[in-house]
Amino acid sequence: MLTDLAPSVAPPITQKTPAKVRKGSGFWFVVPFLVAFAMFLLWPIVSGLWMSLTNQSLTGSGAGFTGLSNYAEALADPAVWQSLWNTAVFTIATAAPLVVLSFVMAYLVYVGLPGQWLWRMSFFTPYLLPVSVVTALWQWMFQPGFGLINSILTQLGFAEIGFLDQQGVAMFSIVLVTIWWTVGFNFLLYLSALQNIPDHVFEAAQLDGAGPWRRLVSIIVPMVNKTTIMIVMLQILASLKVFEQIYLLTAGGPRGSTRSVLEYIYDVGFSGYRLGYASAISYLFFALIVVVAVVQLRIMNRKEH
Amino acid sequence: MKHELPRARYSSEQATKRPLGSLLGSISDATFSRRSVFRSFAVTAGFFALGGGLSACGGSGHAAEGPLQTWDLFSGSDGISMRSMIANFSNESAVTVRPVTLAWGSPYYTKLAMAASSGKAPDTAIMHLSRLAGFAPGGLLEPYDLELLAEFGVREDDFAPAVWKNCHYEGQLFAIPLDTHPFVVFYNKDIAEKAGVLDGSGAISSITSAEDMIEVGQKLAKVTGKQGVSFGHVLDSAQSWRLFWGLYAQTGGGYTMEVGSPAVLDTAKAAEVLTFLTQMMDGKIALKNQTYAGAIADFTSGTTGLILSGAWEMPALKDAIPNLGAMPMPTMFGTPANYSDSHSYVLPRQVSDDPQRRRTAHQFVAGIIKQGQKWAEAGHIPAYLPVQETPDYQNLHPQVDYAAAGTTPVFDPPVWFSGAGTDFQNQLSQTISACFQGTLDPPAAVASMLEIINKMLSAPNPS
Repeated sequence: MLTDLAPSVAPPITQKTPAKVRKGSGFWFVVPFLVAFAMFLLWPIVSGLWMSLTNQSLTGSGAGFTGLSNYAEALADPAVWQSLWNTAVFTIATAAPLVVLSFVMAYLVYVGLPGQWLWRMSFFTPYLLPVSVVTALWQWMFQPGFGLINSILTQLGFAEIGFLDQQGVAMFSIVLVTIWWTVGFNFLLYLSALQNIPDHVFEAAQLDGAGPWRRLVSIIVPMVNKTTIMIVMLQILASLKVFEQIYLLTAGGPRGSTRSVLEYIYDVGFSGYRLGYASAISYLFFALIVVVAVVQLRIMNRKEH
Repeated sequence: MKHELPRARYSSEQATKRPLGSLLGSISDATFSRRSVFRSFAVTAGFFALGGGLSACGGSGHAAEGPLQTWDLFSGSDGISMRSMIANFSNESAVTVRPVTLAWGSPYYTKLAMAASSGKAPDTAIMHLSRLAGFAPGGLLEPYDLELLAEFGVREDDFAPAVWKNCHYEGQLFAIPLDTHPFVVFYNKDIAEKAGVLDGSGAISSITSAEDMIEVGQKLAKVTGKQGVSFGHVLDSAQSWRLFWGLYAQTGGGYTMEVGSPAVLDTAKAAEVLTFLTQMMDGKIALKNQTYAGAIADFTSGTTGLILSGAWEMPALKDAIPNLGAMPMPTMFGTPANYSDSHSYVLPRQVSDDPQRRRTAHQFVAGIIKQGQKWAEAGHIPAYLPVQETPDYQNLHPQVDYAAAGTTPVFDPPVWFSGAGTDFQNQLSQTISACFQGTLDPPAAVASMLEIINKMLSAPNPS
């Protein structure tokens, strides 16, 4: 019976009437998303772009059209360039270690360090902490005088390090905090990618006489390639939009040496009330991010093929 | 071989979004969580929207019939005092008040400006007097009605002239000060006594010059075996500026800061002040790289004998050191002057003019500032002078010992970008702090400060 029914029932499904119903109904399923998308993404993008062409202030006054003068001002503003530079330094200094280190950590856990669960937990736990807790913790460890790190340094006879108050050092302290805080997420992605590699691939390699190094280079690295591409992309975008650990640890100091571009936008727009100018800087930054993303996609695509 | 991407579709920047909300709007009160306040707001708003709909009114989002709304930014013991003062007022006047406490600093003023410009402002709000220049010219505030105030027993004579003057913009009164909270000196009397720097009445009175200050610091350091003086400024967004600007005013240096033209400072005198301060922060008298919290920890643990600090730290210091002495910032450069700010009440602009509500707002402000005695317990100097004259206040030590600072206050320059929690204070503090730490010499620091101020003066005024 069943075998007879199957062919006779199946064809009508692909025929006209049900298909028509589907065509009309699909739209309504997407509506809730579209509404949210339009309200919280499309509209802000458009209104922000308009705002960047005006001298709109947070206090509601002066929404007059000013053309491209905000953009001209931004391009001539040394603070914009300095904060862009700081953002670039932060991105380069965090993205590379966050990718490489997380892979090394995942690999070590994967190949079976003793006490795997302990490593897995301690690598991932910091990621679960809110940024305010992370910064409060490190602020006290970096504290001059009686902070954990500095008191150990002085007891060992070394000079104190002004982790957060020395120009040139502060940015790298923030980089260190960021790596400690977020490496666990990439670690987890890598670990699951490693665990997805089928065992028989390794068995075959072993039969062919591949040692651990050979297996790492010729099997593991290529097989987690897609994960690497994703991690690199996410990581660069995440690092470019750094704000809160800087805001909480140094507020951009000492002397603006750790101020990221997002913090500058925040300072200009929300402390300085100049929404129009802040929007213009955001759009310049947005353009830069688009360029970075496109270049990245190109490189990654080439690599894949 | 097909290998799947991990299921997780979250990006690590999700974590970066989470804290902002708590940063910008954490309510610092144990009993009123932000959510519960907002929930009750929503319920109230819904209730009045219903009522409004029935009487065919509606329109502005402001609940014209609701309880009097007031905003402040007081946490810790300040917050507890303020809530009990509001409760007192409510009990005596039968006016229902809905207080909202928001986090201190720049975000508070962002919210206040947005609320005032969008017609959702509270009836009254606390504002640092140093912020008035950024709010009053933009029409975000409404002036007070002097007659109404007089009706509730508040007059010009009730305030120190120097403070009262700063409550005005273009001849109109926009703020009623609750307190002045100067940047003063606290000292550990036990250590000071051993160091031999106390006078007959048990106070330090010998500091009349920068050299005296150095000498006292050295004597205190001898007793503690560490440093004599605590001052925390590293990465702080205001402390260096507070110390510098108060002492600069003592030199009589003067300044000109007007939007559109370059700032003028007496660079020689500014450098003189910075030179003295760097001499003091030599590692022996005071550390050159101490943080705000570290300075308090050093002072309260007896590592130092004296601290340069805001009056608002008094309760914490007194807890740790019962035998706490205090004085206004000693006059070291000729003219008595004390860096100060003032928590004052303002009337944010309302969409609809409701005389009865305005009247109640005046009544509320008068009712709160008259409870200055309670407020003084937290270290602030009550701005309402009749409170200062009471025996209760006169017996309140060490508050009364620095009350004189309230008569010679030095506020931030009245430009739109200055004041508590501004980027102006933050950037200047970072520059001065770099000077204290030795990476900038005093003349270079002054030049750098002028550069920062000039950049701000050349930007258009957004208000």
